[in-house]
Amino acid sequence: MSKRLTRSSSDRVIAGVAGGFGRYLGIDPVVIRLLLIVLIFFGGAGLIVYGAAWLIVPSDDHQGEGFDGRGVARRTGIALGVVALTLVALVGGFWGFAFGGGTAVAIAVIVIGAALVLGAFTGGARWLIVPAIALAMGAGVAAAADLDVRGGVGERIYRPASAASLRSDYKLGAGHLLLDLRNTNLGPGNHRVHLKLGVGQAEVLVPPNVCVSSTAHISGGETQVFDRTTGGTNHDWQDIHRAPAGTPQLTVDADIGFGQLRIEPGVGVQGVNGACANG
Amino acid sequence: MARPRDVAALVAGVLIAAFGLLLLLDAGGSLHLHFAALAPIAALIGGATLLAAGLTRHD
Repeated sequence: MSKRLTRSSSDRVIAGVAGGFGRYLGIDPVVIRLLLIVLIFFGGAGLIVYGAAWLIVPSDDHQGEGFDGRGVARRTGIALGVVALTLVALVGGFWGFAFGGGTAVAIAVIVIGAALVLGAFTGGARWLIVPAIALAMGAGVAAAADLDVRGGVGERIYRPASAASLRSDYKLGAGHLLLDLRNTNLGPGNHRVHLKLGVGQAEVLVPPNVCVSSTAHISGGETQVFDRTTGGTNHDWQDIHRAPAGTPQLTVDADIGFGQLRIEPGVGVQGVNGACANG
Repeated sequence: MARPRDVAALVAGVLIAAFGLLLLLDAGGSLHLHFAALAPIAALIGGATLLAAGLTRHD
């Protein structure tokens, strides 16, 4: 009798896919599980492979249950339900924390963890593990990024006419924050601007003949200042210059959760910080 | 004391609740979670859960 590939009902973490493959191939299912976890980091391939195998491969306790019939519909429903719940938990944890609900989300994670502990004694709680991890990690990413998106959502465009109307702070929760200074008469002296952005792009368009210094902390993303670009996670940017006497100095300090800081030159300054003494 | 029917859920629950405590401390400003710590924490939770499931499987 030929060997048949089935999901294991006795050796399973979620649906017995790894247990079944391990038994079929004659290797330890833990190796299959580790491979699937590694594949998750390659575009989610591990989840797709697991989901497809869950749908297609029958369970060993229902030998007649194959590629068609009510078994597939039932497994599809369960898989879609768990995937949907996991996505909701991931997104909910992230945005809940980012919108200032950190304490509530943290308490929810603790309560769900406690529910899993209780469920370990009563049974039937295993399905909750993946959504619970998703909720915790979504919140964890927002916490690590020190994300705060309570400053509003959308596009904010500021075009101050003069140095007097230039504010010291500009804040946006999520979206595009544009500070267009190309037609701003800054005048001599040092002008400091602090930009705080949760998620999105902060863009500063500077006028010609202004020496620009910039510092930034970005939890995840990119800094593009004139002709220089750098990026990564938890990266700090510092580009300090000194303006010659009589030349206006603009100092931009940005604090960005996830996204990009972009400082672009105005007309007549071809991609370099040309107005600075040492620029 | 009753033996747990599902050790994997027990391990995952304890670790997730502990991580929730870290999140609570972060939200309160007592500590700050860093990205560098997230991947090891995720690997710890996932790995310990899989290990518990593997060690208690019913052959």
